[in-house]
Amino acid sequence: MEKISSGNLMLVLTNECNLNCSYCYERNKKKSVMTFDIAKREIECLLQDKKYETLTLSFFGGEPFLEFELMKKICLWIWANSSKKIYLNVITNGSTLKKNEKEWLQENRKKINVMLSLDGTPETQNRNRCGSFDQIDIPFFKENWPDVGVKMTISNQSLKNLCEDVKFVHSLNLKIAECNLAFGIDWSDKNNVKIFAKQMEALYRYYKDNIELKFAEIINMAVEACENERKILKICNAGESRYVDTDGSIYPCNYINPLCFSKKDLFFLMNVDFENIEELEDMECFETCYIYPLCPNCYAANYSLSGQLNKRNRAVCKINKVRAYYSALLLFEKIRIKKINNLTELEKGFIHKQLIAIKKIVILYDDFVKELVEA
Amino acid sequence: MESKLLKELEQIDFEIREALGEEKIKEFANAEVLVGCGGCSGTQMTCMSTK
Repeated sequence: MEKISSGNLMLVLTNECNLNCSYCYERNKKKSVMTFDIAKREIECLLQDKKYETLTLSFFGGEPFLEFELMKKICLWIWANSSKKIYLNVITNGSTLKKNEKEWLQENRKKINVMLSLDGTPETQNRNRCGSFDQIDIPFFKENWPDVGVKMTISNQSLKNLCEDVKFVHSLNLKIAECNLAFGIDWSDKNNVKIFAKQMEALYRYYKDNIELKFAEIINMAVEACENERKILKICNAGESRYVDTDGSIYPCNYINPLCFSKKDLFFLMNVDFENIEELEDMECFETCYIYPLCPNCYAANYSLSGQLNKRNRAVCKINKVRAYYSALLLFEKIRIKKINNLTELEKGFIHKQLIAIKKIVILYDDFVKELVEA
Repeated sequence: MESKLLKELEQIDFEIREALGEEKIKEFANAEVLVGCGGCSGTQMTCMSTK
């Protein structure tokens, strides 16, 4: 089957945000707004590019809905002029929408995906995200985009409430689209991995009793990937999107831009060849770690923390091993309730591969995780 | 937990191997499992290209 090529465009409508979340990586926020002409120029550029059959356009910020009228004007222009299929996405903190804006979004909900950032219980949301819980009309997002789900971010302050936060979001019947640790904050405190392990144990027990739920990403790693033939992976997406700042400047991703780096660092990062994955890989991880294919990696975040693109953050290394361990246990719970005889050959082959990975992960990390949980 | 789990795991795997046969097992073992790119997961950043 021929792969359909899709262009990725990220438009920063504004650098401004009404919140100041505890883990926000955009440290250099300033008041700056994109013009309609810049947005139109960028969209036209990708529409005219024959190598793309479809286009994914994401409205970014700051908080993109602070420039609601601009976003609306861009959408209307696209719907009137685009000859290609364009997927439209927005991630929002959900705290700024006015009545007329909600009405417009509701009318156009099938043409634009809106993902809400919601970190969990009111206590967690307010701690991480500037007391914004009561400003969000959660039913509005749930009713209009039930399949999009919410984006949960775990901070070192909310870590101890992780299980309750996930349970809370499930209790609202919201889909959890993403559930990940915040980056750019210090995870090196040794207590973090202990707290994390205890929370993952609780989460594992919760999902074991509610096996029909779609597991949050934090405990749902695709462990079978560890059994693939070992090769260097480009997990980071730097260089694969066209991230356009408010002034029309183009950057390799939503981290490598003036909101996050100084001019000097940006000059260096803008000259990196992000296709040269051998140079960018942390070879110690590649050569020695079984769960290498599962581990998240962000070149820019590596650089931000260590000054080296190819030095992965060791502070989250143990945390990822705990994630892999509980993902394996939970996957096994799913497998053991299947009726093997009713499966196709392909399904059986896939499960065989999963079982090999589960076995290796359990043998590798069982003592390590038990020690953390019992500490 | 480890030994109990591994025992049950071996039993399920045995059933699968019996049902598939060694040749098929080898064939599937060589197939690459495609996972999502992962993007910036593990960070709070969302690269929408993965959506």
